[in-house]
Amino acid sequence: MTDPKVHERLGAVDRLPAPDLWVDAATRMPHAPTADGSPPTRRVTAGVVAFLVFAVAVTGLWQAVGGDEPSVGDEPVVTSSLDDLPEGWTDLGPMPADPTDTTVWTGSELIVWGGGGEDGGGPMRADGFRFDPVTGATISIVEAPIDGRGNEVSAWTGQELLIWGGWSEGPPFFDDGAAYDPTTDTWRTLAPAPISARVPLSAWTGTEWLLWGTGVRVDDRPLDGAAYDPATDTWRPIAEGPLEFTDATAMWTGEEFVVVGAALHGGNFPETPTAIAAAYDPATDTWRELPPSPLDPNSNTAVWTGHRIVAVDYGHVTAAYDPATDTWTELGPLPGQQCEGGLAQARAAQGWALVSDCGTIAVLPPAATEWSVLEATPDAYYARAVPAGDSVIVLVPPLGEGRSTLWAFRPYSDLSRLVTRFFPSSTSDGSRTVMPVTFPDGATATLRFPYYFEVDTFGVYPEVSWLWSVDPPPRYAIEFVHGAKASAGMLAGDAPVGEVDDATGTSRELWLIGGADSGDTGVVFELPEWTVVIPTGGFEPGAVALAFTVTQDANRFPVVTAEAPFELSKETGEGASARLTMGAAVGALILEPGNCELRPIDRTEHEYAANCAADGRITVSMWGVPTDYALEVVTGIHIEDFVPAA
Amino acid sequence: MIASVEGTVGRHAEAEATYREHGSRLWRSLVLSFGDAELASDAVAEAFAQLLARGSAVRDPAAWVWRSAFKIAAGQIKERAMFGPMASEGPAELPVDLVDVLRALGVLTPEQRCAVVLADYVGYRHAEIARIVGSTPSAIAVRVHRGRKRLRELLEVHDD
Repeated sequence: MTDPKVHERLGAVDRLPAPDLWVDAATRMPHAPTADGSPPTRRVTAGVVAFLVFAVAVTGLWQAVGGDEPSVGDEPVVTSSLDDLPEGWTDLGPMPADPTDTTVWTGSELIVWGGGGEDGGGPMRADGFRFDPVTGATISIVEAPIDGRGNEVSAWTGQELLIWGGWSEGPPFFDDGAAYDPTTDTWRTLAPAPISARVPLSAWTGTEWLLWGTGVRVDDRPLDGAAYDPATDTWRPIAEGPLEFTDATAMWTGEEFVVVGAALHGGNFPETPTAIAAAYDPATDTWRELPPSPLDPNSNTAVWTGHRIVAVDYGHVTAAYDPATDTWTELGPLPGQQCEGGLAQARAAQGWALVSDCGTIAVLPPAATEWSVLEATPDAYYARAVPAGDSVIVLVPPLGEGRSTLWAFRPYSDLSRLVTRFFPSSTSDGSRTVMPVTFPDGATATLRFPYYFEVDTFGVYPEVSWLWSVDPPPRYAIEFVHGAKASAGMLAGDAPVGEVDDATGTSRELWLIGGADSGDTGVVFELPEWTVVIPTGGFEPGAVALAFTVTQDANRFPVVTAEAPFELSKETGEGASARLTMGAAVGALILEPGNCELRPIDRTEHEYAANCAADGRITVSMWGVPTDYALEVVTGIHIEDFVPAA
Repeated sequence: MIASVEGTVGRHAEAEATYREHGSRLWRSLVLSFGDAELASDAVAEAFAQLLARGSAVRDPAAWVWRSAFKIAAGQIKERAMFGPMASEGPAELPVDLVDVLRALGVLTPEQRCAVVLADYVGYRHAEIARIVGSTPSAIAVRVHRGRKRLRELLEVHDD
């Protein structure tokens, strides 16, 4: 709703004569994107009133209107229907049928082809459909002039969908392919390729489709490949590659066809000390090996983001390769549980890398070295991801009955909306790592754990802790979110519903939380590094909120102080207990007062608790890891020197 | 070929109609948000030039051009930081009350300024503003509220 008084004052600008810019717009050529980031030549419009009243804060303003790198000359917004979507996740609803094989984005629709029906089994299909996820429009496409198949490779050229190779229900492989033109709904067969039947690795260069090696484990590990030119329907053999791969990802960097992966000959046994990679230059028809990477030889997945290759191994170690310097740089670990299920997929949009692995979807912005877990991530354990222009489409299969659900993720222009880790400082006492921790209630303690637990995995995520002083606790726990602007996503309504004074007498805004109709309110504390929302339990400011003051300590931890003693809750789930997440290795730590018994939290396979602090006040629990490893970690971690909040 | 020419003419007419309906308001919104008339002019002209170039690929020209113009203007602001400021004149020829408004807007954060202008000058809803500036409706709600509150203080606006 417009504020009439402010509207009236802003209306002063209506007395400023607006220039007629139509002729300028209709006669100018729009700027082309600038490859080197240099500014395009400015064209000053004649007759325009020229003035500049205030100096804008450049960085902040840029963030205010979105975009990581756009300039005047960039493609500004809409190139496809998905470009109208808001940033973050958008639920696009169910798919008309579950895709099992080729799924490509054309810029305006998905083309789905092949595979073995909705469950992936049964006779292989040679037909498919086109689907506009925004409008829901679905168009069946005619059968291809080649056998139905699965595990084929595919590419979208901008005009045609290319299909080649694959198998019917296992080897032998196919050695033929076809091209589909959606504008005419017609197929054509591809000229015979000069390579043997297989499931190759592949990438589209913009003019050629490169097929090389093998994308599946086979006894015969081919090193040859070929390039297909759809304009002339011709193939040319390419030089033999220098390395054998069994599990690899191929990508086109703009100059080279790069293969990153593993050589796991003889089953899962790696033959190399690290992951391996090689690059093919079509301009010279030559290959080169990339330097050794920091990745485990069990490489998992990789993606070209537009300026670097981001690769992940099965241990969730990640690294970036810069072709300009021919060097690898280790990045922060991929968050989430390791599952080694071979399900990880990496995709890119707007320079961001997005990795989906065993239900965790993490992103890496263009200049970032640490991954962020996306908020409100769809339940996507077996998700498939498809690059779609400025977004990434994620297809989430149903857990039970029903259709796959389609989601789109569009990178944020405001990076403060991301959940990022930070690390309390730590030292070593020889065999153990020592990490002082200040808990959100002001209590302090020291975590000591074996040196072989990688301290880098001990990230402290947002929503780090929940505290309360009343019994029963309020419905919504206190939330600590990393990022000074992070409160916006939690709050509902157009404006605060009131203001209250905190314990120091400072006025704080009271906002609706948990949805506009929830009736629940929270007091917002915005700190430099954190946003803290403290629930009040209703429209009336409650004693819970008013008793708090919130500050940050030298370690950037939010520290809550209160007039009355508080205790850490032992509950989980909604209104959960205080916790420190531990990154990839372990699910979480739960801090409980007065419970020193070794006991399972839950009777499911992977949820166990253990250990207690030296003074008997804190129990460390964890879940989501295999039992033996959980117990090893638990018995190796000690919380010492606990000092309760004053 | 005839159909193609007719299509081009029709899209040109549609784009001009969009300009006639939105151009002035868009330009003034950019002036309020960025404080620079020349920048606003270039952003508006560029946005409509790109709209024309894209033809039927743009399904909602008005929404597209608002978003594009704000993004283009922000891009130019970014370039100023990299390559130095553009030559600009002072506000001498502006109405005094407009100068007051612009100076008050300049005190707001950039996020708040865009949000308040689009909400209280143009009258867009929070969801529409979120799409223009690339944010979420709840974030816009916070920016509008805080920006509006600060602007009222600076302009000494009081409810009767």
